[in-house]
Amino acid sequence: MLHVLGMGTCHPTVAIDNKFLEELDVGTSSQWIEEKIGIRTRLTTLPLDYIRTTRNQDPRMAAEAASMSPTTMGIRAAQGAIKQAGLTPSDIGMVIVNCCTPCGSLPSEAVRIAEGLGCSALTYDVYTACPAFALHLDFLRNFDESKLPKYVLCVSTAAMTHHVNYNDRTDGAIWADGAAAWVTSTVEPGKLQVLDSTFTADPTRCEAVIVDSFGFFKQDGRAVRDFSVRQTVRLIKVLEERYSVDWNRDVFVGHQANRTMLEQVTNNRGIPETNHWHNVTYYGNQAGAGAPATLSLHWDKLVSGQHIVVAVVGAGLSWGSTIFKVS
Amino acid sequence: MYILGAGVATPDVEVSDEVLVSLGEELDAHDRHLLNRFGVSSRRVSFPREYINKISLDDPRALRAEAQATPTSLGNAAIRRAVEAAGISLDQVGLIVTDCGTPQQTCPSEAHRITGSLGLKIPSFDVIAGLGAFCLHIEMLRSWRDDRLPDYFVIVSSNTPSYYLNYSGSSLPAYLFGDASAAFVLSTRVPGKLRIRESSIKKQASPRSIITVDRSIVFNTGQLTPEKELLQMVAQTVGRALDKHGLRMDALRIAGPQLFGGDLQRFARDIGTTPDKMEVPSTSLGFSLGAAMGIAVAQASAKLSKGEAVLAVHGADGLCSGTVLITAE
Repeated sequence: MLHVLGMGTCHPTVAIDNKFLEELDVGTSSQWIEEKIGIRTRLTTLPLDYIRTTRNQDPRMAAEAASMSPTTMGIRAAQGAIKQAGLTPSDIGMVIVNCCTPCGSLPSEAVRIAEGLGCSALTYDVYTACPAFALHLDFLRNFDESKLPKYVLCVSTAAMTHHVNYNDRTDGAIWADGAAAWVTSTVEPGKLQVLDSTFTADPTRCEAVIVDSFGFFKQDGRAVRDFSVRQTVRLIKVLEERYSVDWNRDVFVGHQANRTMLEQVTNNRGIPETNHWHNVTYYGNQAGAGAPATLSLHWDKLVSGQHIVVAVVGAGLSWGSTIFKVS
Repeated sequence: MYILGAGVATPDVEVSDEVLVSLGEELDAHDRHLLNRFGVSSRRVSFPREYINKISLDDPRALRAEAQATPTSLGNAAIRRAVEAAGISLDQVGLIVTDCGTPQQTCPSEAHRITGSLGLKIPSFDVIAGLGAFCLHIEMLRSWRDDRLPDYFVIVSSNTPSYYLNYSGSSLPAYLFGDASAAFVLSTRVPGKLRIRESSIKKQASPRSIITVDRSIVFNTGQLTPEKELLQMVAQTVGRALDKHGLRMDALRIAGPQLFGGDLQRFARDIGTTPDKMEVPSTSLGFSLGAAMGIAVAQASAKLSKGEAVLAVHGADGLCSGTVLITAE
């Protein structure tokens, strides 16, 4: 049985508010953003002056302007997770990383993060973008438990704002930067027990969400929105039936795509606001880091016996789910 | 676990040393010495030959407009060939695990782009480990529970380093690297002629990164594993495999480090084998990062008779070492 022993996050401190985006004069307004996507601020590693003056028209310059790289955020999130698990980097036997905005494609982001941690574990990237939380847990559940090291570190990190065209009225309102990490074990019990997990994809629709290696993020917004709501609802329904989920006690954490999408999901499933944990309203969409970061930020609110239902969707198009039981 | 089929794809354009020399100054003595040691004399690139001297890494969009192959198109072609060799149909594949060190988009994953281009709606994701991808993919999947694997699954490594190179004629990486993809259809339920008997992957004690891919490829020659050390590692691995599996040296083909094809005669002698048993396709195709080992294994496997074996030995990237032993049943 797979357990999560500790989690950590790292987010930049610079917030892009809706007023800032409105003042970029690209045909958007605070009211439109709030109504359409429900995000009030999003956190970025880019200086606001850089965004204001350049609109990030050459995304290759973003890395140089940024206060932190995806690697730095990943290292800091990992340090938090390792500390919360009561471990040190030398205890980690394997590191897997998801990053859709890597500083370079070789060596893997996992190598860079492990090096920053001073960790001598086997490292490689296991990558699918936004549904990484589900992929990593499902990936580890594929293993014969005797073949896994005692402690495995998972990291999901993304600097999405580095690939945003700030002349676009929608993309700038959605994306943010951040990292989340979690330490797992099949040997040592932890606060979260993974009861079930899934991950699958329909890659025939992979062109719907794109981050160009040297360019901008692009997506087919309407198609992705409809898919996200429909697929998230389906994933939750399966877990509701299989594990007798009680929304008066149990908690939902979704892909932090945008607030209105999440509201459509919770309205459909009758999930009360108190049992819906999210951070997208003030952190923005942190790609694969969003859902695990949300759970990490609510770690002290976990109640013994509670189910945590995670349903995540994204690029690929791919999707996955996890249900935890709090010990 | 069995290998049911292997497939390799390369771009059509072949660039010889003579073409590169004609583009500018020749390599300096140090780089020429290294190139001789690596033994690469031609390479495959994804661009028309007449375009390569105009490549500007500052303008990726123009570069892509001229390209005749991508990691996705090469991965697609390699998988189709592997599936055909396995005697199955594409829709029987249940999982695709991909390695790509030169993606054109960082999202979606290369696995999703390749799987999508094949028209398949199946789980797929990237597992990226650079040069050790073949050994890692095999060892990882052999560590999975059998009930979590579909009947047929595919591993593929696809790389187009030519998008990251400056072909000025005096750049060592331009001489070394080539574009290619290698794919394998695997199964734990359906027996095939090629059985994977053993695999391993582990982090090296003092890891160092020899190749980095950012906006361009950097080949850190100062970080290269010393030849003597590498040779010793291959010889020890071969010796262990022979002892453990009761194999004869003359029945063993070696898919060793792919950047050491310059003096195969000596290399083979020091290991205790003959040059014809050493598989180093990088000498004619260029070094295609994680795909290079797969191509060597695919070529070596195709030559096996019953009772013979292929030993893949990875360890040249400075990060991890790995082995895969395949026997012909």
